[in-house]
Amino acid sequence: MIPELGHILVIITFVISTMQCCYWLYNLRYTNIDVVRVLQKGSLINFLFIFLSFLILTYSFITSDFSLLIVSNNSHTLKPLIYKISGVWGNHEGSLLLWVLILSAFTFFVSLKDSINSKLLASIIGVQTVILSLFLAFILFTSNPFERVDELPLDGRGLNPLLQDPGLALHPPMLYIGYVGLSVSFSFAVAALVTGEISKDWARQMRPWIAIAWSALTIGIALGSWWAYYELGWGGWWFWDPVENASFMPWLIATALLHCVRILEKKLIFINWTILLSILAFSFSLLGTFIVRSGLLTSVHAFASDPSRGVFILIILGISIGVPLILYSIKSSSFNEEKGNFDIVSKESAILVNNLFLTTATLTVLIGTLYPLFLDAINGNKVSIGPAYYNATFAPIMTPVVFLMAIAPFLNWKKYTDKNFIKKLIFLSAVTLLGGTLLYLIEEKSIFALISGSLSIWLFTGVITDLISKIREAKVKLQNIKQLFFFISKINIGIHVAHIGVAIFLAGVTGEQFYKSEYNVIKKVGDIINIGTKSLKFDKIENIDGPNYNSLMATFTLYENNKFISKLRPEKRFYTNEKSQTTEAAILSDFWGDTYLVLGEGDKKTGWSLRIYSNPLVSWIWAGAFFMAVGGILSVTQKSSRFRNV
Amino acid sequence: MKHNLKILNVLPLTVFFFIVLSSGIVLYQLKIDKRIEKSLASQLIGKNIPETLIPKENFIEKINNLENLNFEKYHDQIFAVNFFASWCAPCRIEAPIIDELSKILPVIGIAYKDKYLDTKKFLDDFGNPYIETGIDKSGKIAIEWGVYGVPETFLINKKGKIIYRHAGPLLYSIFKDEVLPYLESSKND
Repeated sequence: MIPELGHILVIITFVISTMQCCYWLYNLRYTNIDVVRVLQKGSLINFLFIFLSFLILTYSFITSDFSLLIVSNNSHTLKPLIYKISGVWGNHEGSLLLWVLILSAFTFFVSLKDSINSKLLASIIGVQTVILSLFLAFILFTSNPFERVDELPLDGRGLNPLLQDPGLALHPPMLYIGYVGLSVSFSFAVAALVTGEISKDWARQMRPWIAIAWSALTIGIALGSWWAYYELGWGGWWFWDPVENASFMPWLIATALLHCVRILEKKLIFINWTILLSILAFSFSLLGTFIVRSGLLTSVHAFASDPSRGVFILIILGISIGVPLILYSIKSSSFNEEKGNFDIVSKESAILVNNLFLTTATLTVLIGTLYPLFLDAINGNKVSIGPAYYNATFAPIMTPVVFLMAIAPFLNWKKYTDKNFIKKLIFLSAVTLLGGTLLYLIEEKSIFALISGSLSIWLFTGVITDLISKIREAKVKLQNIKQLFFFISKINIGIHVAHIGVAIFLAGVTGEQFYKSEYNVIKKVGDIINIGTKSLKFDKIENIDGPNYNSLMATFTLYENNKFISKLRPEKRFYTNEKSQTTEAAILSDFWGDTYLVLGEGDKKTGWSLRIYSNPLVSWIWAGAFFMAVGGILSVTQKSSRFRNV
Repeated sequence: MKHNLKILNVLPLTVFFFIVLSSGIVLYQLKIDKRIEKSLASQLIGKNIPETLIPKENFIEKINNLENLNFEKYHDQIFAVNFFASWCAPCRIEAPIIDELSKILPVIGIAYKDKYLDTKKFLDDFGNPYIETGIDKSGKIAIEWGVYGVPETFLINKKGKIIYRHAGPLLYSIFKDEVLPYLESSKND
């Protein structure tokens, strides 16, 4: 009975949201505050109803109601509670309901923004609701999460063991907040095209939403990569897998948008470009959903793929991207831009160059992702495009971005006036040269190691230099909390934190890419393995029972310079219910890097095959991503109403 | 407001149109491919094993000194040939079931377009159920066998004829409901 209630709630929400769309379109020409009020109420109801139905689905998973198809396919009574809950979105139907829940939440929160002019606000809510009803239709007609089974199974089939992991439990929700959050800026852009209303305030109101979505997307991608690193046991953190790329492309575009919109906050120029980026960012999110959900790709991600769903998503994609692009072709030439001259050495130019490179980078990723698919469709040739392609294309394109990132914050808006600019540049170059030489002396690796290491130093120094000069300029007394907030917003701390994040990330990448070492050995119990200054002692190997798996666990002791550091316990887990096996690497992380130990095949007589990686600075990769996300959130506090040249 | 079309403003729409069109073609192909897969299965069944040449340096276990993967010695028993690859995610999922299968009959592994060390790593990590494992570096053997993609599993009867083919990961349910009964029924062939 309770699941049917959830189903009915989804149906009612679909009806209400469709009616809301009609109401919006009908009143398009005569929008006033009353129309907005109606749409606001509608958004609240949509949000509450979907939230309730999501709770119902979660309840069914917690109570292991195997009469529901997706529960019996994806859950099991023996599963720990957290994975019962994460099982809700560990499958196609449930993850779509989560998608829709987040969309309705964003719609509701943006609808509360009465400070946006009512004509624009009505259209923003309207566009959001159109997307909502399209996805509700998709759920109801192709992927109903509340479908019952005919024969009641005794127990569920379980969740793919690879997906039973705390990092992965949070990965989809964060990613979806990012994807769906970009729908808000998309709606801003479409609303501007529909109403023809665009102003600096439009840009100001839009930026926090982009920042929130961008931060969530950053965290989501980082969690996915972290999971790949320690669960899959391949010893890598990014594989340029099409599904990873699908989440990376909206991130790149959103990054471009986040910078570009700041120009528009100051002066009404680049209106078309900002609108196009807003549309593209969400389009790439939809494309990401499409790629993962349609079965175009088979991998761990495609847990429920079905071409007929793909066709439906293609239709949704056609409407929600095609229509705005048609509007864009017709209307974008009608916006009046202000006359805006700016020097070649100015913030505007730097941001434009940043946008140029970021969009080009997105394009290279897009080509690398879609080309194998299309080639396969055209003549059946299977090609795989791997890191070699991206190292040759993506990395060189991003190099100038990072290079500029260090110096662009020094620049002023519009005019080149800063006398200290050259001084700062010389200081930066000196520090980088010193750091680069040091890097070269410590361990001589390839030229690329040197470049990316130096870039990281360059960026780090740049951000710190800029931060110090901003703090000096700010001259705020820090006596109470209010002043602290004022101070934070004045020095644009978000930008610094995010850029420091990039520097940390780049340092991590450099360490992991160029300075890692790998050992393959076969050892028996009692043996000692020497790795540089560290040594590993093979203590024992035994069978251990987990909640829903049996495990073969080896125990090692790690010593550094003969001093005890830690125990390492790599495992091979055998999930009895799913009849599948996972490799649990033992990882010892510290500030300077990871020791990564994987247990292979073997037996008592011949010994066990072991794979040991030493990955310097690898945790910096995710620390960097975390800093970026925090920076994104902090940038929301940054006031943009000041027209000072900061 | 003036409404005039500019070429540059129509460009995003045009690009998008082409992407949608080609995605549609890909999806359509996917549906057709399913049909091809079925017809392929019926074509191969009942035929002799195709010629399978693997240079001996491409063998993981060097049991075999012949240049040809020697099927002769499996004559008079049913055996299986499993195409896999270390880079293939579904093969990882399938590994424990292939292991079950290897307890019933000999399984020969052919690593499709794989490297020696990668294959060895894969077998270390996920278990080596194969009586012998050869690498199909160029992918030619897979073409001879009409392999649609990895993983793929073939059953061969005592007379050296292909009697069963499964494309895609051999899931436990398929193993239990299709393969085992099939083996039971074709014991006397």
